[in-house]
Amino acid sequence: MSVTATAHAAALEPEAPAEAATTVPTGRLGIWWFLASEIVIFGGLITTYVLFRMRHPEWSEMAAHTITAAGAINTFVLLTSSLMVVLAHQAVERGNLKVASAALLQTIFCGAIFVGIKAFEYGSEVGEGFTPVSGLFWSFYYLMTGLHALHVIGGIFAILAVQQAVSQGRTPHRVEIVGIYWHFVDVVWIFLFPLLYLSS
Amino acid sequence: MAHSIQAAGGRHVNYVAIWGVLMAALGISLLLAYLEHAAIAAALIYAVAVVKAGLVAAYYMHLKFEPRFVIVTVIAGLVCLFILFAGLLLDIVHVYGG
Repeated sequence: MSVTATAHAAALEPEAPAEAATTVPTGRLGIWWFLASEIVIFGGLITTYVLFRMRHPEWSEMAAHTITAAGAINTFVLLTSSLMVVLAHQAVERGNLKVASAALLQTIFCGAIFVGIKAFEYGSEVGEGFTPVSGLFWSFYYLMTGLHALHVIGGIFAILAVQQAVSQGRTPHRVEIVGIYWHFVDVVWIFLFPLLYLSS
Repeated sequence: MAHSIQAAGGRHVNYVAIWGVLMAALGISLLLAYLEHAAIAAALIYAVAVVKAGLVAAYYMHLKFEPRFVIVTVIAGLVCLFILFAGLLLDIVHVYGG
């Protein structure tokens, strides 16, 4: 190989290896490490809530004031959004970026519906006098659902950025990475729903 | 099967069928909330939640098909969570008594 060809090849070399020594792509490995830390954040909140709940049986009366129908609809919406984002990944694997882009838009739409319903719930609960300072149950409720909603909003923007790139034929591998993050947000909600809405 | 794929890793997953199971599990959770025995209802509802989370993690997040290194990463997070839980439990038992 001539010097010019070697220099050209070096210029094309990515700054970070596309694949770690573990054979797992670095992007995918990175999101899993991030989620391992998120397990501690959300898991810590949930386990603390469960421990306090066992000490405060009267919290079941407060949990009766959360809007179960809204929580159930949001569970349906979030599970459906997970289906959309995994279908987007499937479309990428099949090389159909147009379908992937459309599925990502549907995921964003579901995420926006989720946030809208959550905002309606907050408005209704605050209107009834249940604010974050109305007691320990409501502090946990607003902290856990609020932190989760922030993750949903962050996910919407991340998916929007990936969707824009994919619609232009760029970085399709990132669909799987944002998808894994979005599914994690879904998993957190799967636990929050029975803890805060169904155990009254 | 319209939504069944074989990816590079040799996966065969029907994502729509899994979504159907998740929806059925959601319906079961809502029905269980009407059980008279609260403790049994809560235990069953949480068991259904664990199954739902397991399905999403295994098939939608592809954890079932990931190499051991990724599994170890997730287990590391769960171990940290267990340590946190154990510490909190000891503290609560100390404050409130057994």
